[in-house]
Order: sequence, then C-alpha cells, then structure tokens
Amino acid sequence: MKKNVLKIASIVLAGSFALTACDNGKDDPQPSEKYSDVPFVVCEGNFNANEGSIDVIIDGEVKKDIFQSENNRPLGDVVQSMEIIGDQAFIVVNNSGKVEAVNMFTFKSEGTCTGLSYPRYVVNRNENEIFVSNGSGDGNDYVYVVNKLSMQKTDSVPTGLGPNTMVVSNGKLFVANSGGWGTDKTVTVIDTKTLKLEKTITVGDNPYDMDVDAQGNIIVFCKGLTEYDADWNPTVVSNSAIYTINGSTLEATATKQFDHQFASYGGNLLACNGNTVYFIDDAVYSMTNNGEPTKLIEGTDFYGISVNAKSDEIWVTQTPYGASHSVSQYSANGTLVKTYKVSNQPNAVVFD
Amino acid sequence: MRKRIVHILLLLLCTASTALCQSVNDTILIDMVTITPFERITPSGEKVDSFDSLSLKAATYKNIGEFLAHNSNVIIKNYGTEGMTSSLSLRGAGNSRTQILWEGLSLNAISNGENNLSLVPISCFDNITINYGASATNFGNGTFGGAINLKSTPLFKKHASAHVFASYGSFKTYKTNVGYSVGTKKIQYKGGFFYSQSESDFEYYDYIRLETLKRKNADYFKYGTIQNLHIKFNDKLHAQAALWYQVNDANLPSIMGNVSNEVQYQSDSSLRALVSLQYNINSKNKLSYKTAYIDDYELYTHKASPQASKYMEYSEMQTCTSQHFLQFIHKEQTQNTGTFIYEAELQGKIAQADVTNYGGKKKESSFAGILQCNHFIDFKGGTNVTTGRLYTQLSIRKEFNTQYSIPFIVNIGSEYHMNNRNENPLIIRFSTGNKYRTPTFNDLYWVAWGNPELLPEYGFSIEFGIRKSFFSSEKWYHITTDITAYHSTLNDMIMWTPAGAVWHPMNTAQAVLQGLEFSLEQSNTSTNKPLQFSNKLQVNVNNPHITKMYDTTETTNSQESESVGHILYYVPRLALHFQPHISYRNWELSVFVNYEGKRYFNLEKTLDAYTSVDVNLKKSFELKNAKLAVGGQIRNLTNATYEQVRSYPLPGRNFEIYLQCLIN
Repeated sequence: MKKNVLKIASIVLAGSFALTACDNGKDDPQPSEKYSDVPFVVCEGNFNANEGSIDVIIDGEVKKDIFQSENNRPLGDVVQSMEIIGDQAFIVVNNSGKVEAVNMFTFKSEGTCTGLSYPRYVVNRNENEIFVSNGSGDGNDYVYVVNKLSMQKTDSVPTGLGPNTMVVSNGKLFVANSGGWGTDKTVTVIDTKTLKLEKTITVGDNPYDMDVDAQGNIIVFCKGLTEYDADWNPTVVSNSAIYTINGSTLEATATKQFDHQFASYGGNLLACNGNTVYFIDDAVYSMTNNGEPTKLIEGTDFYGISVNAKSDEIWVTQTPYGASHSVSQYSANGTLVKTYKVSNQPNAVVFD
Repeated sequence: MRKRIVHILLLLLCTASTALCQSVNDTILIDMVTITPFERITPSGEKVDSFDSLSLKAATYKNIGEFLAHNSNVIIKNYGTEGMTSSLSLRGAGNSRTQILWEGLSLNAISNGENNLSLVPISCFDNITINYGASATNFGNGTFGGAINLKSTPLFKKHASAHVFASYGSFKTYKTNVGYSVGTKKIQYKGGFFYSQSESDFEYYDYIRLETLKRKNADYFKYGTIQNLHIKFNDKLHAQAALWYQVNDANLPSIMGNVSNEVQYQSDSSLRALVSLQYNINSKNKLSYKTAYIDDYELYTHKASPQASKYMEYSEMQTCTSQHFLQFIHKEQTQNTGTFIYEAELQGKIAQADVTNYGGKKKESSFAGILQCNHFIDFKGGTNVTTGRLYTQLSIRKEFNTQYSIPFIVNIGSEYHMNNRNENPLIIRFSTGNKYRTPTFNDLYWVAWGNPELLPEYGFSIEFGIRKSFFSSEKWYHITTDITAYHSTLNDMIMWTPAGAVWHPMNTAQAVLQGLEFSLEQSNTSTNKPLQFSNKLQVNVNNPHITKMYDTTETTNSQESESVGHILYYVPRLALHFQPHISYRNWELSVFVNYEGKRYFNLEKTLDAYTSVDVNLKKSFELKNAKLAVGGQIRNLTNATYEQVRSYPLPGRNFEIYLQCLIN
C-alpha cells in the first residue's frame, strides 16, 4: 500500500513539473508589448463614486479599468486626465487629490503624488519633473512642480483661478485659468526653466481647453459665462469663443466668436491637428487656418474630443443619459470607423 | 373625569389634521407617507418573526438597528459607526421597499422613501414584528421587501418600573437612555428619553490615497423621546396616545479618497403623534379609529471648507402629513365551518410640500378601502383532540390616489398549524398577492432631476414556508427550524441613472426578488438549570436580479444586455448569522458572527466577502427591587477590514462598556 502511494505521488509530482515546463507563457504578452501603441480612454466615472478608470482598446476590444487590474486597487474619484511622457503615464485623479505614475507598458504603479487639493492636468517640464495644474478658484490655484522619481512636490507657481489645461510651446508653459468654481478669463504664461511669470494674457470668459497648432500658436477654447440668481435663473453674460495666442509675441486674438454657448457640458472640447482645429458644439466641427467652421460629425451627447496625430483619426466620446457611454473612432473626413463601449464619463483618448 | 378625557381626545382628533401644517417652508425632499392598517389579528401565511418584551429586555444594550441585524434576515448598510447613517432592507428589495412602521405608521423618510433606525434604543418598545414580504393589502405602499413594526403593548395591571442605561465606547461615544412605566388596571403610561453622541473619528486605511487616516467630519449627536399612554376606560373602550420626537445632528463624512475640505452637515427632527380609540361594540363587533400626524424637518448644508462663510448648498425641508384609519371587525363563529372574522377598513392620507426645488407647492392625497376575510377551523382527531388548525386570509384593497391609478390589490394566504398544543408543532404556510410602490416626491418633482412621468412600480409576490419545533421529553432543549422560499416580480422598477453630474429616475427595469431563508434556533431556557444556552443560526440565499431592461435612448449595443441577469447591487448571494448565547447564574456571554458574501456595487466590481464578530459579556447583580448589570461589548473582534457601502470605511475593533439598572 505504501509503495503504491509513493508511486502515485511521484507520478503526480512529475506530471505537475511537466505541465509547468510546457507553459512558456506564450499567452501572456511581454511587458514591453502589453500596452504599447494603443489608445487609452480616460473615464472620469461618476462623481463621488470612486469609479474613475483608464480603459484601453487592444485589437478592437475594450479592456476596462486596467489600473485596477494591474495594481489591485481603484484609481479613485474623477479621473480628469492622463499624460504620456516617455515610458511613463501620469494619471490625474481630481477628487482624490493625487497623480499616479505608472509604467506605460505594464501599467504598474511607480509612485503617487498626494497632498493635492484639486489637480487637473499634467505636462512635462524636463527629464526629471512635471507640471501639475491644481486649483478650484478657492485660493488653492497653483501650478506645482513634481519630481517624477519621488513624486513629491518641489515647487509651485501661483496662477489665475482654476488652472486647467496646459501646453508647452517655445520654452513657455501656458496655463488656461478656467475659473474653477468661479470665473476667470486669463492664460498664465510661465518660463519653464526659471518658473518666472512672463505674462498674463486676457482671452474670453472661462478658458477651459487649449492645444498647439502647427505654427506653435496656442488655440484656446473659452466656454463663456452664465450667471445664476438666487432662484437659479440663468443669465448668459458671454458666449463661447476661440482665441489664438501667438506663441512668439504672446498676443491673443479672437479667432471665432460664437453667438451661443457650446452645448456640451464637457471640458475637453477642442483638439488641434496641424492647422485644423476640431471642437464640439451641437456636433463636431472642424476649422482650418482660422476659416469658417464646418460641421464634420453629426450626433448628440458629445463630451470630449481627441485626435491621433499619427493616423489623423478623430476620437469623440459620448455620454448619453440613461445608456452606455462610448468612444467613437472616425477617419479624418468624419467617417465612422467603430464605436466602443467604455466606462462611465469618458472625456478623452490618449495616444502613445 | 372620563368624559373630559374623551372630549380632549376628540378635540385632538379634530385638530390633528390641520394643526401645524401651515408651517411648510422651502423644503428639499418630501416623500409620501404610506398608510398602514391596524395590526392583523390572524396569521396571514407570510413569514413573521415577533419579539416580545421579554426578548427585547434581554437586549436592552442594543439599538434597534443592531437588534434587527442580529435577529433577522435584514440586510444592513452602514456608512460608519453604529450611530451614523445606516439603512436596512429585507429580501434584497432595497431600503425604500422595506417599510418601517411605528404603531402601524410608516416612518420611511419623506424625501426618498428610505429609513434610518440607528441609535433608537430597544427599550422604547414592547414588541417588534418583522413581516417578511408583507402584503400590500395590509401594509400598503412599498412592501416588496417586507415591513417591520415597532409597537408598545399595554400592561393593564398595577406596576411601576424604570430603567437607566449609560455607556461609553470607542471614538468618544456616549449613550444614555432612561425609561419608565407606571400603570394600573385602567391606565398605563410608558416613556423614555435617549441621547447619544460620538466623534466617530476611527482610523482606517484609505486605499485610494494609500495612507492611514482618521475619519473626519463624522461626528453626531442624537436625542429623543417616545411616550405612550394607554387608557382602558372599561371593557369596551380603550384609547392610546403616543408621541415620538427625535433630533439627529450629524456631519456627513466624504467618501474614501476624497481630499476636499468640503463640509456637509445634516440636521433632522421628527415629531410623530397618534391617537387611537378602540371600541368593542359587543363580542362580535369592534370599531377602531386612529389619527396620526407626522412633521419632519431637515436641514442640509454644504460648504467648501469649515471656514467658508458662504454655503455651496443650503437646503431646508419641512413637511407634514396626516393620516386617518377607520376599522370595523366582525366575527362569526359556527360549529361546522369554523370562525370567520371580517374586517373593513378605510384609510385617508394627505401629504403636502412647499419646496423651491420642486418648483412650487405639491400635494398628494389618497383614500383606500380594505376588505378582509379571515377564517380558521380546527381539525379534531379520534379522541376529539384538536390536531390542527387551518387559517386562511383573503384581502382586497382599492386605493384612489390623486396622482396615480392604483389597481385592485389582492392577497391570499393560508397557514396550517399542526399539533399546535403539544410539544412539536408544525406550521406550513403560503401567501401570494400583488404589490406596488409609488414614486417619491424627490423622484417626481426635483427641479431638473425629477421625472414627473414616472409610473408606480408594481408586481406580485409568492412565498412558501415551513416551521417546525421540537421539544425533548425532559424539556431540556427547544429547537425551532424555519425555511421559507419566496419569489417576487417587480415591474417598472425606478432606478436613478446618471447623466454626467445629473441623475434622473426612470422606470427602467423589471426585477425578480427570490431566495431561501433558513433559521435554526435552539435553547434550553425553559429549564431551571443554572447553565442556560441558546443558539441561533440564520442563512439567507438571495437571488434578486434584473430580468429585463426597458427601452432607453441607447442606439447601439447597450448596457441593457449586461444588466439583464445581474444581481441587484449590495445584496449578497449568501449571508449567514450565528448567535450563540450562554448564561451561567448572573453571567451572560453573547457572540454574534456575521458573514456576507461578495456584493456588487456596479456591473463588474464587487465588495469583498467578510466576516465580523461581536462579543458581549454582562454580569448582573440582584438588589432589593432592582437589578444592576455591568457589561462590555467588543465589536469587530477580529479587526476585519470591510465595507458595507463602497468607499465608506467601517471601524476596526472597538469597544463599549455599559451600566444598566432595572428598577421594579
């Protein structure tokens, strides 16, 4: 009996070794391939629900919340943005007051910057540092300098109210002061090396979004201003507008004044590709070389727009009430390629 | 003197409807208060657990929420420590579909139909009845999960007693309550006062911010009183007047990971008053009338920081409702066909609100009529000994509502009690009927969010159950087992659906609530041995899930297919409670083990399964005309880390010591 047991045990053991030896991990992608050259969808999640996420589209299939699946913990509340810098991605989680640094290929966390009150966006400063815009218009309005390795704040520069999107052009950092919970109409310009304030440029009311065109000019989307009385009756003070800031002279001109405020309640409503500006109103429009806008994509419930500079494809997010939220991929001429169901409140698509 | 009392009561009856209803100001949330009938007098085929004053006295160190969690199949969702907001529901139906009743009056919040019983002491009541799957004919609106009734029962004999309870626990938690009962053969007056406060500043690990933090802005204080007067004028006329006033003041903590300095504060006060008269016309006929008034006030504020001078949100709500019940019972008994008891009842309700966020004044009225036929018949054995009794109940309800068309509601139930008078009784029961739940005022009228096109939810339920008891011939043990299978269908289910930062309620789904409830109770407390022990095991297998999604604006492959078949959020498929209790002479040790399986909080993600253990040790001292008890509780003995509501951490191991004095 004892001999039979030993015999069986040794067969089982040998078999298990054989099975493991056959497993060459062929089904598991190598770390360098896993999240390489794929679109990432930034999903804010519902407010106060801790369900913000980054989804990814691989071979036409959506894989949801890869941060959770790779790190076994949730990202947090209201994922506002993600910026890819080299081999890292920096994810801004607005209502959890932090920026997560992850490895671009494995999406494993490499550090967390906490202690932020209202972070919004990240852009690269140099090899070792990033800029983080932070502020709700309540006295906490700064751009912070954060060390990429330690993920600690090392410096700060005061801005206007509600510093939001940022772009770097010609050695200068441009910060759109959206007003936060209040109102503002300026863009702060900061020298990226010295951190000195270069200029405060006046544009339209509540500049939310910015991008850089082929000439290094900064294209600014201004949402416009609405005021409410004690009974929540609205009064439109100003309409939406697009401004262009000359990257060299730092002078701003109103490129397009609209006769209404944009329909979408999103914040990522503008994207540039070369000399073409795309924006979301009651549809997706394109505007080339400051010409008249042309309706490009019809639809409803648009929330955010991004452009893949490599393929010229336009990606638009949709957040219809009472139904799944999605992101749609369009060719440069506005032809729908495919629509993907993603997590709640997608606001942007980020490309490697 | 008697005439004067009657005159005063009649005056109260006439004025209760209109008094104080003039002070309706801007309000946030008003819900319709459901009308409930008088207590049922014969078994109805539904599963019912009833706890009398004796069993409640043994648990006076607990509050109602804790007591229900330990002694029933209720599902509790806590947002923090025991005194913070918590909600309870039965059969996975959700908070707003489980009615909490006081003397038959619904206490579900007027804003959103929900209930919060945290920190109301057990000692304020003589009887708690849990009616699982309570019929809509008897209990009215919103009982897909069931109904829990808290009531007093008069003790018409000469007596005087009092009790005092005081405790101190972790997180600077103080609790105290005092109660008293005096009475004669004709009159009983019983009342109590309670107070509690806590910092609720427990430590927890924030897995979003990756640091250990102390809970902020979670402090509260609560106080209240419940008073009850019963008068037995004679064998025919009995009157009751009751009052419940309570204030809850709490800072509302933010979710885990939230870094803002925002401060949310809520203050609620409730005044509930009722007067009832019961007149036994003769041995066959009884007439009862009850009138009730409920006044709720809620203040909610939201600031960007504690120092901020301006409010981001400032909302006040005040509402009042009045309810009237008129019931007539007639009893017929024949030799061969058993006993018939007919009941007829009329109910009226008026709910009023004047709310800026509703866009103006809102009013809703309803009038309902109920007819019920109860029957029971005994079956005799060979020696003319009763071997069993069959109860049957058929009831019909028709409600006329100024907002909705409510169909006829019908319920039929039956119970067979076998060997009821000997040592091993068996009960087989069955009940089925249709049900409904009307939208709340929030659902309907909230500016920009509400949906005035909402329809009431409707459906039906059916349940079967068996309860068997065993006694040993030496009576040293007593075992009762109960198993119930239930199934309910819920159509036009109202769900709040997000659209960005805005949420809207919609009749969006059909759901099914189904499951098995098993319980096993054992005790030897019927003996006089110094060592007494009892055990209680409850196991729930729950399967409430979406069966259909209705058309929405979705035009592509949708979330609808993912929702179909999905279990309802925050309901564990498996839940288990185990409660052993040992007493030896004047020592008592109780343990409560609670297991909940994983629970979904969205379509893909779950809260982990968890097990928590609470332990209570008490030593009593017999004094002349008094009994003193000193005890201590350890909650979450194993320091488990778990959540009952996503992103709301719960405290680790914490303690409470208490002193209790009962004076007879």
